[in-house]
Amino acid sequence: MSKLNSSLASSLFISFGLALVFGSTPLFAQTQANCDFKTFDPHSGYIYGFSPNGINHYNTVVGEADGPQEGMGKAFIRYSGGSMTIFAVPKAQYTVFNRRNKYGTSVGWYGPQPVTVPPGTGSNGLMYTSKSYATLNYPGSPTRN
Amino acid sequence: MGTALDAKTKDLFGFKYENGKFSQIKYPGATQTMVTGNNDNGVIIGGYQKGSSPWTGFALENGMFKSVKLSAGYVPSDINNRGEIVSGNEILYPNGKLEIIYLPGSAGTSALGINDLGVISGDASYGTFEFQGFTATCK
Repeated sequence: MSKLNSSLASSLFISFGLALVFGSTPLFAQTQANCDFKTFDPHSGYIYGFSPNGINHYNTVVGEADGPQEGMGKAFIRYSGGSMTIFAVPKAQYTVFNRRNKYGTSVGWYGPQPVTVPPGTGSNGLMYTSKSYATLNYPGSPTRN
Repeated sequence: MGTALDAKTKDLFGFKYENGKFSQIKYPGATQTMVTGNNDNGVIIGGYQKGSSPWTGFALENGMFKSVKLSAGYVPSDINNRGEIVSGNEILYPNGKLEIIYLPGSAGTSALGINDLGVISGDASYGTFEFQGFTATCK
């Protein structure tokens, strides 16, 4: 498997970290990490949620922003310089990017509805480059629209 | 890597897609398994659930499943080539050190991704319909 293909296939459905935090009883004594934060805002109107799910070697961040209508979500790419682009699969109510590799290919999912723990019925795996996108579904899984 | 839905049971299972072929990833004895990330060293991370028990995190390396020592109920979100794992508001270092990530002033901070340089992506909430994204470098 080539390096490119390996990265392409990586982590189609991720971003569960927040959704799967059911409890927070620490097993170990925890200290707070000393972090240098740089913040950024979603596009205007995308006020219902914002999930910067993945970051690649070039500090390009990909994720999903909820809006501009409630119940809709679109994928975004934010480059290290601060510019941001939005992408949505045609007719999909939700499009989400989870990871992006250093070759500029992003992976995630799209579907007709938001899901707490993807994939939900009707959702599809997604691979996206600057020129095109493709669907990747596990054979027989009821994730296809 | 990814997660799919079983057509009959409606349970989740992980999968690997390599050279045009799919293979399943299931934690032994678990009802559901999800795969959330992997690195270039062949380490796959995710979570599993037995019955209705809380989800538990795992790392799969060289065919062996290992526990991931995050706080209870946390499932790893991402792992980089240095072996650093993020989940929820935590970062777990390869030496076992577990630290909290908190953006000052926020009501909640979530670390969702981490690259091979150790830069974290995530979000912070401040209230209803108030969110910010961030990148963070932690020491």
